[in-house]
Amino acid sequence: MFSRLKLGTKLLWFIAPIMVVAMGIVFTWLIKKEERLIRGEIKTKAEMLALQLEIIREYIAEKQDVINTDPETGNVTFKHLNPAKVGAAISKRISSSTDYIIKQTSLNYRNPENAPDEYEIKMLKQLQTKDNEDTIWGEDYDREGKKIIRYIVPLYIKEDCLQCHGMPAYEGELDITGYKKEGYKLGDLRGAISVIAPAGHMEAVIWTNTLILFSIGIISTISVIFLTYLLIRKFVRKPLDRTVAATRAITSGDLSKRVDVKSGDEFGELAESFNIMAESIEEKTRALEETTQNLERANQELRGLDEMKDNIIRDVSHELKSPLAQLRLALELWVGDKKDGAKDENKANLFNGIIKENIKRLNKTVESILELTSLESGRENYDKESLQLKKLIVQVTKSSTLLARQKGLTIRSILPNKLPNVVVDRHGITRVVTNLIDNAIKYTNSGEISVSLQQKNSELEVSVRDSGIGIGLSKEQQYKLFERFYQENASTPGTGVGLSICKTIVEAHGGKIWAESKGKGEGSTFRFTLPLVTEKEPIATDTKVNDGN
Amino acid sequence: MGKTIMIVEDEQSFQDLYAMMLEDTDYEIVRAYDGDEALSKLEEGKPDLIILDILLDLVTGDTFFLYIKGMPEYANIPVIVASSFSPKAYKNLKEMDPDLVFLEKPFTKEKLIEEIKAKIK
Repeated sequence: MFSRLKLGTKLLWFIAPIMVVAMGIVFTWLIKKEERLIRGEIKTKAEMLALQLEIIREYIAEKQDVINTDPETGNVTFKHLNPAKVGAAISKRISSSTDYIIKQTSLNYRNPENAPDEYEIKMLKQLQTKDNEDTIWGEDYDREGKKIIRYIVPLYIKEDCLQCHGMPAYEGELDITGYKKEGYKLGDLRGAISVIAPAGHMEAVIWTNTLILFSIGIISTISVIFLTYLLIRKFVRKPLDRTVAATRAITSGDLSKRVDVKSGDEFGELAESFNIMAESIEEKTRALEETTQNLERANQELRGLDEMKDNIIRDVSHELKSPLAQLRLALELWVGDKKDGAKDENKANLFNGIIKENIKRLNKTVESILELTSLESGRENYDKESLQLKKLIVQVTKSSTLLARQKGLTIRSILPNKLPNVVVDRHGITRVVTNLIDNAIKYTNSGEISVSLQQKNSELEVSVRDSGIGIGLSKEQQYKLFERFYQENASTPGTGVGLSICKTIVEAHGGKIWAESKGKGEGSTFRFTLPLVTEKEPIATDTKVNDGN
Repeated sequence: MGKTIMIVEDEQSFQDLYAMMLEDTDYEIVRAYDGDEALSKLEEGKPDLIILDILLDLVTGDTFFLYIKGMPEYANIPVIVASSFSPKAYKNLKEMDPDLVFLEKPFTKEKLIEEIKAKIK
């Protein structure tokens, strides 16, 4: 149950009772101390009063002779100024002019005004049983119910007292005042000075103070609770809530979420560690995603490669199987005709044509494959020489003109004079240019083919542009044209290795080859570059290993 | 009354070989060099059988096949697919038309005539 409470409530459950108990103890102590102080003050006053009366009495007792003896005549007459009378008169005056009541009392009183009250009787009796008892303090309530403090100072018989209160010389001897001598001995208890101090105000003050302290207690407890609540809210709950919210956000996938807590306390540290953790999670997740994407891409590429491999095998097998099938059919039919003894000149020519053409086709396919294999395995040797590229292109163009004319196409060349020589393998570059022009003728049904040559910085660029069927591949996919056995249109005759061979040769010369086309039916341009090598520069010699195979 | 066979084949020499294989029969031959041409020839007259190569320019053999199978007036024309590819490559065509006959190149004259006869009596 308790464990389910929110942090703030939990703390309050602890703090509130501790505060109440602590304040209770402190306040009780304060009130008691206050009470002691007030009581001490009252007592001091009572003591002072009693002491003054006692001193006056003693003085008067001492001076009885002087008071009662006429200094001129030497006659002794009682002047009614003995300690009892003077004490009673002064007590009366004090009592009437202050809140304090002071009086002399005795169990064996002479003056009825000095008759003891209930409390005094009790205390006097108590004093009688003990010798030389000191003062007695007590507390009581007056008739109006107000608190009073009682103070009793015992009066013992001294030398001066015996004159009036001592042993009578005879039964019924009267003293100077006219009273019978009581027969006290030295040290006997004669009576007491009794002081009644008002203490009603003490209770009032204590009550008021208690009320004030109680109010302070309640107010401060509430303030502390409220403050605790505010502090927890500001320093604990808010940063915690933010951290919790961030945790939830991250759990639900928002990895960029961070905790915005800038304090340097434990929550700041928590937030910082949390942010570091989130950062690391985000980084790792990103890395993981990247890896996944890379794997996905690699997988896709592999699938593509797999598909390409299947297509290549299909196309190559078709390119080998189709002429073979025709050869076999033609031979079978020819053999059948021979058996029948038929002699059709026309038919024989047809057979002859089919057989020749298909053998040529097979031969070309096999040669291309072998050539490419040898090129790619680096067994081809390039015999480089310095030559005018223009001359080479003119020669190729001339030999292709016939083929172009058969299809009604024209070949135009734009070949500037005075271009620097290039250092190339004549045979290889001739093959590249031938292949590009032949391709242009093959894929163009009308229009023209233009061959151009120009210098671009430190290289020469050859381009062959046609108005043919164009390339359907996107710019990013056009590199496929130069892959072995790739054919954009599967039914096109050819092995699909021509451009691949061109690429191998151009790259072996340090050049580049690429295609440009605006799309299907828009014609296409094939370009390749050859770097210019100055006479002094060492020619990029053939580094291919001739392993004698 | 001679039956008509449409031969859809892009290689001239194959077209010639088909003609020679069938010269002793009384089938009338209609030549088409790609799917597009075959479609226009179909409009000129409905053949009794189609011999179809798959690797063709423009409209390829399988596209042509799917097209005629989708046209009620041509869907019932029997088709023999003749290709140098293995029959495995044409599973999907076989699924569309269980009666489809597949001839892998090369095949003999006798085999061709036997398959044709099985389709048109």
